[in-house]
Amino acid sequence: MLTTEAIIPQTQQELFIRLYQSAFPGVASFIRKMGGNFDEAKDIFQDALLLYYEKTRAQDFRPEQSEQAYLMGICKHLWYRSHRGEKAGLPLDENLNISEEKEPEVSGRLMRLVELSGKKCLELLKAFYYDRLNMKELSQSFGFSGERSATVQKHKCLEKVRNEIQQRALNKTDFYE
Amino acid sequence: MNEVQQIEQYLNRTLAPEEQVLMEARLLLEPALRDKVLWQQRSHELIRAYSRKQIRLEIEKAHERLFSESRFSAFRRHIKHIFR
Repeated sequence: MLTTEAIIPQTQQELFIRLYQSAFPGVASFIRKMGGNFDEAKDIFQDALLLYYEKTRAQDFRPEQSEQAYLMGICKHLWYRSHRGEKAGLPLDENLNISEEKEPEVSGRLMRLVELSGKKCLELLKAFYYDRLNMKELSQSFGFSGERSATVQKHKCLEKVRNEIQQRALNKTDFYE
Repeated sequence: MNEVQQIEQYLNRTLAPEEQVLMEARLLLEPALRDKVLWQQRSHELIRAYSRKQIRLEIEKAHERLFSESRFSAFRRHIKHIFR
């Protein structure tokens, strides 16, 4: 199980390197066998790594297969889905149990504006809502004095982002009216 | 409990039942609060999009290291062999 280290980019890279080493050769062989090339194997594997990472961060994650088996299962599914017309749109294998939500629709422009106004806040919100660190881990990683101040800061950041995008939307309306 | 937290618990349905009802009543009466709830939901979409972008960057960096650093040369040969 991933812990605090999950959010430190250097350690995340090490995790992905390890997963690449253990699972990519098998996935590459499969894609090759199916007539795919290196770039296709890379794209599919990287999508699978993202889904697998999200899965391991879910509160109810209980590993039932090895990480290689998970990654191979996701990659096979992604390959079949994009290469077999009749099976397109097929939901992910039930036993893989991966939540495959649509990519949230956020304009690149809005993202850049919010990033400019506070990358630190976004990092904190990512650590809490996406990487799902608990308050103790959050305090340690971001140097808060305790869980209480981490909670307060998290809410301040959420409010800041909320006000920011709300304001942008209002401005845009003003502009077009 | 501050308002951001209250909205969060409302969205997660973790408010106490009487607070949930109170919140629903306020939402009917206060358009400004309705806006806040809406934009708080949108904030979560943005956080998720940002997070995925960051993770994709880290995955791509891992890939670049595997296909450039000398300590991974055996791995590269293996992959090259598969696509030969």
